Amino acid sequence: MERENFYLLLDLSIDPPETDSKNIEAAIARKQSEWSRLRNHPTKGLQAQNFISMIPEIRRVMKDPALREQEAEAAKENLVKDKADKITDIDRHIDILIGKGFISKEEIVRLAQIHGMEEKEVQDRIRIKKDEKFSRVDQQLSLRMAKGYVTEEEINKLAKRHNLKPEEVKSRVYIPMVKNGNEKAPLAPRQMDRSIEKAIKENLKIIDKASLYDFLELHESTDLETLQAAAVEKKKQLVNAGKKDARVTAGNILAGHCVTIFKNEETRISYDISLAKSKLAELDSGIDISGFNGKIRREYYDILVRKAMDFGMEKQEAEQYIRDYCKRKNWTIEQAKGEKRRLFLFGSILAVLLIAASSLGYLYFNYRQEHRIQKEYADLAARVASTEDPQQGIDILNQYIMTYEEEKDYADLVEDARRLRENRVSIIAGEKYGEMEKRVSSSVEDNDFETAKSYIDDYLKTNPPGQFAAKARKEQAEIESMAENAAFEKLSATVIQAAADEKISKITDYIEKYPRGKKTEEVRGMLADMSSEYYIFVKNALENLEEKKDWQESIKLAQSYIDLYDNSHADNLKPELERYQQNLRFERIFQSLRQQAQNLGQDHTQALQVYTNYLQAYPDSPINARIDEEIVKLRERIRQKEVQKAQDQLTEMIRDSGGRFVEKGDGVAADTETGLMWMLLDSDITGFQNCMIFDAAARYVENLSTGGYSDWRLPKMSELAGIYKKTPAFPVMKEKWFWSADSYSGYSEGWYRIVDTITVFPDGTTAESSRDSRECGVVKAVRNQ
Amino acid sequence: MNEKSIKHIFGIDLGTTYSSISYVDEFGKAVIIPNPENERVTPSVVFFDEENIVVGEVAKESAKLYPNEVVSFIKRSMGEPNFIFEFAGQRYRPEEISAYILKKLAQDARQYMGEEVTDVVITCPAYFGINEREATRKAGEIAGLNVRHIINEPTAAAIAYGSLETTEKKTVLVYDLGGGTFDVTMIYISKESVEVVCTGGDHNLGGKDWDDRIVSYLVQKFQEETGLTDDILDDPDTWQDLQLSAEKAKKSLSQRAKTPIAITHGGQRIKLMLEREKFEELTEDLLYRTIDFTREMLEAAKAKGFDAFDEFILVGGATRMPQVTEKISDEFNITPKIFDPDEAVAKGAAIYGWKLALNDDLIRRISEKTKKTIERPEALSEMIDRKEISAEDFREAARELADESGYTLPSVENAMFQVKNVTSKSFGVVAHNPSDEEIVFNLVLRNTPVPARIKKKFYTAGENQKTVLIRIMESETSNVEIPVDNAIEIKKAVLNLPANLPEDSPLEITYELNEEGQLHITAEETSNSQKIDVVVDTASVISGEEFEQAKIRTQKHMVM
Repeated sequence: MERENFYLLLDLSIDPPETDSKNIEAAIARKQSEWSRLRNHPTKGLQAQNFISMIPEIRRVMKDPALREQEAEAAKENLVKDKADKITDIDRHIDILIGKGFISKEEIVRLAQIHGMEEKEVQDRIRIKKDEKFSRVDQQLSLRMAKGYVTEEEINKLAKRHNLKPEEVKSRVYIPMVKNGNEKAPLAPRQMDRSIEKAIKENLKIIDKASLYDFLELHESTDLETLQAAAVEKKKQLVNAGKKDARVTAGNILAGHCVTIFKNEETRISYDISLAKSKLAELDSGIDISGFNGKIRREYYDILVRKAMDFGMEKQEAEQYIRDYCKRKNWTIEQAKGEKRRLFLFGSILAVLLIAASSLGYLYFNYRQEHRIQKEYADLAARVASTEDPQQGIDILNQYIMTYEEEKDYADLVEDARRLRENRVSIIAGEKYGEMEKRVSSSVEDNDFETAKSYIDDYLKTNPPGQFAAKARKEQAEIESMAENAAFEKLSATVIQAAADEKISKITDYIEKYPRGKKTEEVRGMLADMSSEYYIFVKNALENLEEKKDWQESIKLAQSYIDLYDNSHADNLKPELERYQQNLRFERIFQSLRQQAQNLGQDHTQALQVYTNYLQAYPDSPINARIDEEIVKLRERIRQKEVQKAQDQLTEMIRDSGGRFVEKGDGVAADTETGLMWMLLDSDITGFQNCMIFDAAARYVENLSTGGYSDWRLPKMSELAGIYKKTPAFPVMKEKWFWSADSYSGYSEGWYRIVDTITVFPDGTTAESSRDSRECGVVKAVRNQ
Repeated sequence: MNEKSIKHIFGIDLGTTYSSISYVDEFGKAVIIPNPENERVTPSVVFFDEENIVVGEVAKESAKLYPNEVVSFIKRSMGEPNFIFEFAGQRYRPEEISAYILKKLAQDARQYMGEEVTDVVITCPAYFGINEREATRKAGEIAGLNVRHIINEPTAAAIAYGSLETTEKKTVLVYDLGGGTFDVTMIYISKESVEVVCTGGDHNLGGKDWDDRIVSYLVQKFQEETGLTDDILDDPDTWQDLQLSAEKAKKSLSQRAKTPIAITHGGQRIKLMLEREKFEELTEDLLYRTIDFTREMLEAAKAKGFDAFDEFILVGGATRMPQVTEKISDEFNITPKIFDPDEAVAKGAAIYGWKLALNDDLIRRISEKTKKTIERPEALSEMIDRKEISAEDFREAARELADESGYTLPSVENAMFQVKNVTSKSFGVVAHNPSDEEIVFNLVLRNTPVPARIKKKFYTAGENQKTVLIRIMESETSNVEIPVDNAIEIKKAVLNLPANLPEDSPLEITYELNEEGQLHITAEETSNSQKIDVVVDTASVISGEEFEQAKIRTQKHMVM
C-alpha cells in the first residue's frame, strides 16, 4: 500500500526540497492543528484522523536527513507518476500458452519446473489470468449497465469479441435484459442516494480501493450470496485486526454499506449503475479538461482513448464515445500528423535503458538526440508561426517549455521558446487592449461611463502586462473624472426643481460615489444649505407618519436627518427619535403577542391567556389599551362560539320534542301546540349581559330583532309554564330561572317590585316563585305568530 | 442528625455531545443537578471567547458564528496524542479541553448545592482503552477534581437501573448509543452485585454519525438545487450551521414523520423537507453495525455460559430514534426498554460515588471498632466472608452510620453491593516467538474479569543486556498471539537490567489491570530475584510539565 508522500502532504517545497527543520516543524504544527479541526468534519473527519495518527511517522521521516531526501525524491517521482505494471515471468508465459484457448497438464508441470513452483500455485495463477479475462468482460458489461439494462445485441457482441458463448456472458449479467434498446427497461431501478454514493467513495479513497467489489476482492459478477458472505467475513477480519484507526473505521463503514447494498438485487443494481455512471462521468470530465478552444489535441485524444479503454471500452467504441461527446459539445479533434509525439513521454525511460546497455549506445543515442532536438524545435517554431490564433501558439510553446525546462540539452531552446512566447503574449495583450479600448470609447460616446469603467475593470482583472495595465489605469482615471462632471451637471439640474427628500438623496448619493471628487466640496455646501429646508420636510412627513403609526419609517426619517446634520434641528429630533423607537418596540411587542395569539388558531381561551399574562406582567405598558381591545374581541369570539355550540345542541334536542317544537331558522322556534314563537336561545346563553335585572329584561326584549321580528316581549307566566311544564317540554340544558311579564309591587322596608318567575331543571322538573325585580334573571323572549 | 458527616461524591457523565452531573440526596436517591439555565444536560462544547472560556449551550450556539474558536466532540479524540486544538497561539490537548467541561459542571453544581465539589466519579465508554481512560482521569485532575473512580457507562446505567429493581436477579443487556460512542454490554444484576459479563462496541459510532449522514445529504441537495459544485463544508460557518441543523432535524424526526430544513450558503438559501423514511435509508448501515456488535457480544457471552438475557435496556440519547427500537424488536424478538436515556449514566455514577463515600465511613468505623486495618474497600466483604470481621461488627457500624447520617439502614446496607467488571481490550507485549517472528503476546485477554494479575516469563536476547524495551500493546481480539500490525502501542516501558546477566536470563513480567482499567507493570529478574526498575513512557497522555501548565491555565481561566 502506498502511503501519502509527506512533502506533498505538508505542502512543502519540493524543488528545491525544503530542509530547514524549523520550517518543517512549523508545517507539521500547522497541519496538525488543521487536521485536528477537521477531526469531526462530517465527510473529511476520518481522513483527518488518519493524518493525525501519521504525525509521529512524519516527524521521524522528516527529521532524518537521509529519509527526508528519499521522501523528496519520491515526491518528485510521485508527481511524474509512473504506473508501470510489473508482469511477472510466469504471467507472461501463461499469456503465451493460453493463447490457444487452454493449457495442458504437461504444460503446467513444465511451468512449475521452470519457475520452481508447486503445480497448484501455477494453477492458481492460471485461474487468476482466466478471471482477468472475465474481468474484462465484466468491466465492459458494467459500463453498459449504466442505462439500467443491457440488450441482447450487446451481449452477443461481447461474446463474439471475447470468444465466449453468449450464455457465458449472460451468466454474468444480473440486471434486466431486453431484446433491443428501443424497448423500455422492465423495471426502472431506484436511484441510489447520491450522499451515500459519495460517502462510499470517500471511505474507499481512505483505504485505496476503487469499488465495494474491489473492497471485498470479488468480481462485479459475483452473486449476491457470496457478496453478503464476503461482507460478513470482511467485517470479522476487521474485528480481528484488533484496533480502530481511521482505516479500520473506514473498512467497518464500508462493510456496513456492503451488507445494505448487497441485500437484494434492486439495491445492488442501483449501486452498479452508480458505479458505471461515475466511470463515464470521470471520462467526461477528462474530455472537458482536454477540450481547449473548441479543440481536442491529438496527444490528449490518444490519452483519452487509452483511458476509456482502461474503463472497459473497446478501442473503436472508445473513439466513437469521445467523438460523439465532442460532437455534442461542438468540438473538433485534431488530426494525427505523421510522427506521433507520444515518443517524448517514453524518451527518458528509453534513455535510461540505453545508458544501461552500453556507453557506445549512449554516445550514439546522444548524437541522434542532438539532431532530433534541433529538428523538433524547428518544427515547433514553424507550427507556432503557422497558427493564426496566438493563444494556440502560446499553448504549443507552454507544452514544450513544460516538457523540457528541466533538461540540460534543451536549455537554450527552451530559452528561445520562452522569448517566442513573450512575443506572442505581448501580441495578444496588445490585441486585447485594443478591443477593450474600442468598447470603452463607444460607451463613452453614449455617455455610459459606468459600462466603460466596467470594461476597464474586467480588463484589469485579467492581469494584463505592466505597460497595458498602466495605460488602462490612466484611462480609467480620465473616465472617472468625466463621469463625475457629467454626474455633477445632472445633479445641479435636478436639484433646482426636486422635492427636498429627492434632493437630499441625490446629493448624498453623489457624495458617496465621489467622496474625493473635484466637485464634492461644492456638493457638500449644497447639502449644508439644505439643512432648514430638509428639516421642514422631515417634520411634516413625521406628522403624517405619526398619524399612520408607522414608527419604522419615522425612525428612518428622523435618523436620516440626525445622521446628516449636527445642528439644533437634529437635537430637536433626538428625543422624538427615542419616542419613535420606544413606540416601535411596543408595536413589535404588540404584533408579536398578536402573532402568538393568532398562531393558537381556534383556541381563543389560550390566546386570551397570552394577553392576560402580558397585562399581569406589565400593568403599565402603553399598549395595554390596545390589548384590552383585543381581549374584548377575543371574549366576543369565545362567546359566539359558545352560543353557536349551545344553539347546535338545542337544535339537536328540539328534534326529539316529537314535532311539538319546530326550528324556524334564524334562532326562532315555533310551538306547534300554542302557535307561539320562542327565541331558541335565552339571554343566559347569548350572554348578552352578565346580570339582567327585571328592568333590563324589559329593555332587552324591546330591542330584540331576532329572526327579523321586532315584536318580542316577555312571556306571561302561563306561557312559560306552557313550554316547560307541559311535555314534551322545551329542552333545558342547565338549571336557571326566567323572568315572566307578571309583576306587582310588594313591601318590605320600602317599596319594591315583585315578579313571578319559573325555575327549570335539566331533569324536566320546574318550580315557580316570586322574586325581587333587582335580582339577576334570564329572559326567554316570545312573540305571537 | 447530621447528614454532612458523609462527604458528597458526585457522578459525572462526560459525554461526547452532552454532559451532566448528579449526586445522591438525603433520601438515598440519585438526582441530576440542573445547570444555571435550568437544563439537566450541558452540551460538551467549549468556546474560547478571548480571555473567557464558555461551555454549554452558549458555546454550542456560538459554533455557527465562530467556528474556529469552538471545540465539539472532544471525547472522540481522548487518548489521541496528536490531536491539538490551537487558539490564539496556545495549543490545547483533549484532556485540557475536557477539563473545561468538567470544571463547568463542578462549578454549576457548587452554585446549586452551595458546597464545593471536590470528589467525583467520572464515566467513560466500556470500550475505552487504557490511554483514553487515563486521559479522562487526567482531565478531571486538570480541572482540580479528586477523581475517585473511572466507571464504565453501561455499568453506571445498570447500577441506576438496579437501584430501582433490587429484588430480582436479572441479566440485562445495555445498549448504549450515545452522541459519539456505542457500547453494548451484558450485565448480571443482583442485590449484592452488578457484574459485567461481556462488553463490545465502537467508540467511533454514535448519534453524530447519524447527523453526519444528514449533513452529507444536505450538501448533496444544495448542490443539486443551486448547481454549485464546490464543497460547501469547506466553509466552517456552513459546516457548523449544517451540523446543528442536522442534529435538530434528527431529534425532530424521532417525533414526527418529516421535518423542514433550510440551508444557507454564500448568499443562497434552499429549503427542503427531510422525511423519516429517507433518513432511515441514509443511516441503515449504521444501525446494522450496532446490531452486528450486539450479536458479536452475545456470541462472546454464550461462550461464558450466558445464552439468554431478561431485559434489553436502551440508554443514550440516540436510542430515542424510533428505528432503533423497531430494529431491535425485529432482530432479537424482544421489546427493548428505553431507560432514562439522558440521565441514567450520571445517576449510576453518583450512586457508585455514594457507595464509595459510605464505604469510606464504614471502614473507618469498623477499623476503629476492631482495631484491624482494611486496605481496600473490596477487602471488607472478603474479610466478613473469612470471619475476620464479624457480621455483628459490620451491622453495628452500619447502624451507627445510618443513625448519624440520616440515611436508612437498608440503604446503607445496600450500598455494599459489589461491582465486577471485565476488560474490553486485550493487552500484551511485543515478543519473538520460537520461529523468531515478531508478534504480540497477549497477557490479558478481553472480557477477562478485572482486577487481573498475570505473570509471564520472557528471556533476554543477549549476554550482558543492559535494557529491555517493553512495548505494551492494546488490541481487540481474543487470540493470544497476534501480528504486531493488529495492535496499537499504548505505552513503552524500559527495564533497566542489572549488570552481567547471561544470555537467556529469565525475566518475569507482571501485568496488573485494576477495576478502572489502569495498567501497572512490574518485572523481576528471577534467577537472583531482583526487582527491576520499570520506566513507563506515557507520551500518549498529557503529563509532566505540560500537565502542570494545563492545570495552571485551567485554574486561571474563567469558565462561563
